[in-house]
Amino acid sequence: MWSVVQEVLLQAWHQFVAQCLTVLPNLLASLFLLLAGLAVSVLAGGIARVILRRAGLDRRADRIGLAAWLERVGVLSLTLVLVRAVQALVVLVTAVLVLYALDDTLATDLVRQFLLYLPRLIVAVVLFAAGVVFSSFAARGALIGAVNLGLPSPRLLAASTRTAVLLLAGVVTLDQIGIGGTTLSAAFLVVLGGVTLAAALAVGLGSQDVVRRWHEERRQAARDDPNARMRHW
Amino acid sequence: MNAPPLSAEAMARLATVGHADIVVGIPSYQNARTIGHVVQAAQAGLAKYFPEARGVVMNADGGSTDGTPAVVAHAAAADSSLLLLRQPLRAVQRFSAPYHGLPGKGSAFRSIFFAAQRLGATACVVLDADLRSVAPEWIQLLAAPVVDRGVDFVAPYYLRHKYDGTITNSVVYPLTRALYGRRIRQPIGGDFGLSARLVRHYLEQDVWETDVARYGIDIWMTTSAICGDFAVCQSFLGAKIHDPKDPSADLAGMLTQVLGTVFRLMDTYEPIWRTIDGSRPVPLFGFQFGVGLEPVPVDVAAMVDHFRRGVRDLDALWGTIFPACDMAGLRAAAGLPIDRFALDDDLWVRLVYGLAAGHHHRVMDRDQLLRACLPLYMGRVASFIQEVATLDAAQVEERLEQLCAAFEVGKAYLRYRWASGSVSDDAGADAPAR
Repeated sequence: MWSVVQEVLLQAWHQFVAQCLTVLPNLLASLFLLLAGLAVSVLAGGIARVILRRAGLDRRADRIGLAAWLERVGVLSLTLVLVRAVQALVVLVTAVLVLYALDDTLATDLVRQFLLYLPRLIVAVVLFAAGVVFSSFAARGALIGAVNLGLPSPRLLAASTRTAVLLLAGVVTLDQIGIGGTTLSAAFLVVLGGVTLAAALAVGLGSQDVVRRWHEERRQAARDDPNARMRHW
Repeated sequence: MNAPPLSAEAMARLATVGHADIVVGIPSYQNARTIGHVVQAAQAGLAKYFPEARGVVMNADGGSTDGTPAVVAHAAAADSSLLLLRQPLRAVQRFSAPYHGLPGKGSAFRSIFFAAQRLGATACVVLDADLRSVAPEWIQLLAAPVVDRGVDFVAPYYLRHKYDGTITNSVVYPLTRALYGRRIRQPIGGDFGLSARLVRHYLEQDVWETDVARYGIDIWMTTSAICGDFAVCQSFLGAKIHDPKDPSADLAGMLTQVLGTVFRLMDTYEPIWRTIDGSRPVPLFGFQFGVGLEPVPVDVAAMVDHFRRGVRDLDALWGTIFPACDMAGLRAAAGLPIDRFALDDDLWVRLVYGLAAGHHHRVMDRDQLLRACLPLYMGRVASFIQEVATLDAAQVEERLEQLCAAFEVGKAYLRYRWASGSVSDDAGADAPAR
């Protein structure tokens, strides 16, 4: 009986070794690819950092207001973000290669799905970036206009403008990449419609006298303002 | 740009007129109250001072609905006995025509220049339609240097209340003088005399679909004349009194267009202004006399309040245009009590040059940049009003001379900011010290 047990154990061991020997080259290749990929990502990050610093990317981002928005979300440098993005891209490619080395069928399937999704992702990034830039522009315009017109709380007005534009950009972006689906769009429309209806009711029914008086007072102030009659040129 | 800026009807009218030696153009929009007087003065001026010349008065109207063209058509010629003339006035042809193009004074001027060129006029005079102080002598003073002395560009020289023309006094005059080296006191006066050669030059430029066609036309004409190979002079016209202004007119919009045109012209004429230092006087024709002027009520507290709002809420935005030392100066000024409020000349010069450089380098959207400077302008006006409240006209001109000198001395700072585009505190060897 002991000899049978010995034989079974030996057979199991041989099968295990054979299986390992079958998989081992793939494993070793994957490990090599992983290490090489990590090294390339560090190198690519370094090169990207040099190029982006020479192009003055952070200064340009500051000019269009993107830097201020990134600071709010804890990002101090657009250059750093893009360097990390380059490194992440290299690591992603490495991961795909590792998958191919381990199981090419699974890898092929994953890559195909990702490539089909990529255009939507790119459009979403562009949409959100455009939304960020436009939100800064709109907020700045609202701030300047409010200051020049003497409206109360110009910074609050500017922040509200920025938030509204970013919210819209965010909803459009999420819709583009398929997160939330119709639920998100419907929720946004309900909130927007509700806010608009509430404001219309408040002003139209509840505050029409107040608004009329405010308009009249402003018109009278403009008529009485000596500075409004100055000939500046 | 090649389509005629006048309607077919107006073109037919020009064909009927055929030829003119002097064209007086009056751009208008909703000026029925005052244009009759201006037309009468133009007619009388042509008939009295240029009796041998064939004169035409043309009104370029922007679609007025208050009957402005009808007033022009029915404006009676002045009574020659009241003008103390020995011979009767010769009738002067006049007509009103709508202009084509962007709504604004520039498009109106373009149609007037077009008509003057079509009629083969030797001289073209343009007058504002809302003038109450215009006299027949203005026609002589604006046209005679062109007709008799070969001058191409005659700028007006007015006597104005010290609180009038604050954009001119604070920015446009000292800046234009420092940039281009010519002391034209009223570069955006609005009433000019032009030679046929200069009219042809203006018509050849591709600016009529830009902001120049709105409120930038006056400074564009003046700058183009100075920077081109044209003879320029000024004529003393006396007091300039307008019809009361519409209080709802948008100051921010007008400031944006005027300053925007000035700054864009700096891009165009950079090779010229870069090499000029100091300035020289421009010949002044006409007999100079003193006049009493209507008082101009102002509210300094409101201006200072506007300035303080800007310092409080636009601080971060201004920080992208002006260095820290200038921002500190602005905060210090905002903290002053109203009776001691002041924005000194050196700081103001640096702010204006900083804005020009910021506009050139597009540190932000240009329209927003210019609108953001309105609180600064209001602060400067408040400071100026406080300073000259007790001064007479001659003393105010002396004070403005000091401001102009500051602009000329500070030009090195402009060159530095224009070239570097930097807003860091200018501690470098090349940066002019404050």
